[in-house]
Amino acid sequence: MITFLIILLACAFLVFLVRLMHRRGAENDTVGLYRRLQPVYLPALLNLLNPDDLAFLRTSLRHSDFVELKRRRTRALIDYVRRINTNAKVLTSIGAILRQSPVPDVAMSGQLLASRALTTRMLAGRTLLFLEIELLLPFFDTNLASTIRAYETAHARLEGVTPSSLAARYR
Amino acid sequence: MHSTLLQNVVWVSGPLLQSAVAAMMIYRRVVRQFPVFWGYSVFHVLLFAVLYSASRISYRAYFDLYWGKEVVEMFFLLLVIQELFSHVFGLYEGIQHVGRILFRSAALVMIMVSIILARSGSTTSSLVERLVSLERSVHVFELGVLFVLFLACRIMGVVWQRFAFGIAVGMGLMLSGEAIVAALRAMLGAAGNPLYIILEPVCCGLATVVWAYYASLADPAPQSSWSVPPATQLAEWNHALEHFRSRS
Repeated sequence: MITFLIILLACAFLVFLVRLMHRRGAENDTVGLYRRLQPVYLPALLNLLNPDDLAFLRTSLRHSDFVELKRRRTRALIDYVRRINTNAKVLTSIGAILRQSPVPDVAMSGQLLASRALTTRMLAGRTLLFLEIELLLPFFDTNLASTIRAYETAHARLEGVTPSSLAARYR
Repeated sequence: MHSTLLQNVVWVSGPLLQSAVAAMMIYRRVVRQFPVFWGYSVFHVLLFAVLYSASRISYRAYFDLYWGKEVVEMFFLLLVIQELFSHVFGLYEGIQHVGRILFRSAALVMIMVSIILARSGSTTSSLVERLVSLERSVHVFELGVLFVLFLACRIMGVVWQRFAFGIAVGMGLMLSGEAIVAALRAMLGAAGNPLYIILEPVCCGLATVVWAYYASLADPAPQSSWSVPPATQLAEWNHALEHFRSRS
């Protein structure tokens, strides 16, 4: 039984490796990666996070209405943070590709972009977990400030390396 | 006669390719990035010479050396996987510690799985069967740790450096192939020996082909613009500052 299980797992790992090797080409396609970036309208997100609005709604609405509204707000926040999470993954990949550039400045920018994007992804993952808790327990409040700040920094880095550095990479 | 010729071809081609990998790593200047893997390649080549000589002296000497090599190789492979973890995660300043934590956690979990596997094969009596069972458990353990590495990179969106990817894929091919062969040998008993003798080096050979391919494409470490200036330049700056201070 154990022997069959080991053979099965080892065969599954071999298939996984073959698929990974096939996918690697797509992972290195920077233009394709840029296309995978999803729009995140940060002013709208910040507006949604306004604590004064939330405090006003808490005092002026009935408790059940406020809970329902807060759940809707949390769902919208989850959608935003998921987009940030996905974009951070794409930015990490772009940064990692640029890091291998023979042009030192591009390589340095790529390194910084990848580091910032990876930190953002980890923060976004943590925030998503807290938001899911908030969805279940509406009195719970999630702080998104660090995730948004990290995302803004990473996105600013991307703007710094596009498009002239991309051109340099394919020179 | 044919099987002996085939065995010899398979046996010799592995170390030949492995020496090509080691030489290619020097030529491509990637030894500094992967010193443990380079050491592993050299160890393989050197040990082949020792094993070949031992096989000409006595079967007992060959037997002891072969299984001694297998045990050392298991540790070496684990070190190479650890090197891959530190290489992949070391490039990102924010998550260097995540790589260490991931490696240790994966190793801990897989050690427990391996102990369960080893206990399931403890009814075997002969030394060879026990060694093959141990080898099977260790391969499953190493495969699990390697899988965690691949998975973590996939989840975080980390793009592998070409040669690091080649090392990991080659290692995955070798470990899964050897785990299958060792499991078959454990299932078939002594009747599986001819299969084991042929297929085990074939798995190593396949992995070495992958390593040789990726070593030939390896990029040297990127030159970063934030590197420390040479000592002479620092001395010049120091001198200029001293001069400036003395004037002001």
